[in-house]
Amino acid sequence: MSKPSQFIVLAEDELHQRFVRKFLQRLYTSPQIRNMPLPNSRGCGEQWVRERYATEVRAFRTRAARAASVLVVVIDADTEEVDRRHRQLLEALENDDLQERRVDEAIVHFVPKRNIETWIFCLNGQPVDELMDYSERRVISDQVSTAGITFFDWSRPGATIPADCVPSLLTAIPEVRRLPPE
Amino acid sequence: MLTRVYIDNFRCFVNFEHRPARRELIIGTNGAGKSSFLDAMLMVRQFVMTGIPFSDASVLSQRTRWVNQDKMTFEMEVLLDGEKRYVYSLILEPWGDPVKPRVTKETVTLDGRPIFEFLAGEVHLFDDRFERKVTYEFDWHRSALGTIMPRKDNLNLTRFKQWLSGLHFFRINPFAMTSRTDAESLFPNVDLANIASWYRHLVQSAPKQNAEMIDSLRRAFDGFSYLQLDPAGENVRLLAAEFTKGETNSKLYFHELSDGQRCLICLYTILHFDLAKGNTVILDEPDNFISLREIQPWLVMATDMVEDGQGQIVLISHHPETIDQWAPQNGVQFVREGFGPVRVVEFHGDPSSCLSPSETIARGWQNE
Repeated sequence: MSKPSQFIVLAEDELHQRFVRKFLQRLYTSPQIRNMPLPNSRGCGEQWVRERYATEVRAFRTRAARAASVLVVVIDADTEEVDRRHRQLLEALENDDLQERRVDEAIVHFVPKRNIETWIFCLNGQPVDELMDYSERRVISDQVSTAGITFFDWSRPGATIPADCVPSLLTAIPEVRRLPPE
Repeated sequence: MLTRVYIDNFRCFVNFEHRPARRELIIGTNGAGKSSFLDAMLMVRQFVMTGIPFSDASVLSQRTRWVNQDKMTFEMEVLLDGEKRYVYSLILEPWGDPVKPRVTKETVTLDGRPIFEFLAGEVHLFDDRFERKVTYEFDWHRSALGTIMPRKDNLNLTRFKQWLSGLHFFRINPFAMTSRTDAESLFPNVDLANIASWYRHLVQSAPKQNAEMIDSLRRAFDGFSYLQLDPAGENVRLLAAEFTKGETNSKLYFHELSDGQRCLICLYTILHFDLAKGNTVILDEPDNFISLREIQPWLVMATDMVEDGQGQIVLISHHPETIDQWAPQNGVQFVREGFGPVRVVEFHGDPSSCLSPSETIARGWQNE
């Protein structure tokens, strides 16, 4: 796989975008990132992402023959299980007559549970519980940067991951393997 | 950081109050008062920083038509250095024959205590311990604050003036720009007609920021290499951009660039030299002339700079790309009922519809 020319980020809100951006900027030199429009409010964010997912996968595959790009999807699990969000994304493809994503496709799913704040606090070394809703707790900018960098560190091959890493973050690490090398 | 603006009896602003966020997008229909908001603040800033009196026509004719009131009031509240809250107040009234605007009140307070007063023609200066030190008479038609020089016992007042000096407004007009500069300009014009002269100053005073800006422009422009100021006579320089494609280099003077290229260079100049210094910048329709692909990278850089603690930025925009990126978290809307006064409401779109914010506006659903 060659270095991707563009990263398409389909996310629920700006905090998701910023986390992914900090991570990608750590992983690649000057990545060309295109953030897809955000929904009106975070309340319908996961629905917004699911409704646009198939369109983005189709566009990704159409372009794949011409240039290497990456599709990063960030969708909160909220009170659902992480697996259920993955299944919903798969159903969205099936409903649009699209094949399941192949293992060699650079389509990455990040599914924080309960929400992206859970990951950010966890990656900043704060004890968190995936059943708790931290969306009202203020995230400061430095924490987003630290989270992106720490996620990069934890996702490297052979990295030592702390025992208190939340399960949804652990399931995201194999997703990083889908990203082509620089 | 600008935390509050109060305007009374200026165009469509009557008893108007707005508390800007550190990063904010102002939307609104045409005639909603967005640009007038910028004009009001710009007028106050220029009044103080230039020390030039208002002419009759420039201010008094802009009193609100349907309000039968002489007094015009402008206030800015600013939070600096963590917790210091400054409030600048300016009251103008018509006076004399022929009628001219005069200052009946110009004050600066720090955490509620006066550090400067210009009341009824008398200036009262205070030291940093809030003790009144000097009183003298001054011309009612000018800003007395603008004439106060920095001293070792008025550091607080100097700090406020320093912030005001860095409060910059932009309504970028590529048609007004030239390549030629005869001297450095310390401050940008609103339309950035003096971009060459301002850049000439910036590149001297902040070479590190210049290197960062050039790096950003290389990512924003296909083939962009660097900016340079070519000698063209005694003290005269011509601003030019160098491009590289393969083995070929080509140089274009600033006026030879496209409108969009000129605007984009200006936008990155504002980010790297102005916002990065911690200044407050307000831009009216910055996305004009910019191609669709170029808007988001600039917005993202502005987002990251502000979120990383650099400065404050307020955008006024109609562009869907800007609206969809910033409105969900940072949108406010200026609204008027008929020709009534402006009021501000938060705008993040319609949470129940799951439409994009720009689509909500395009359908006219934002006020339902």
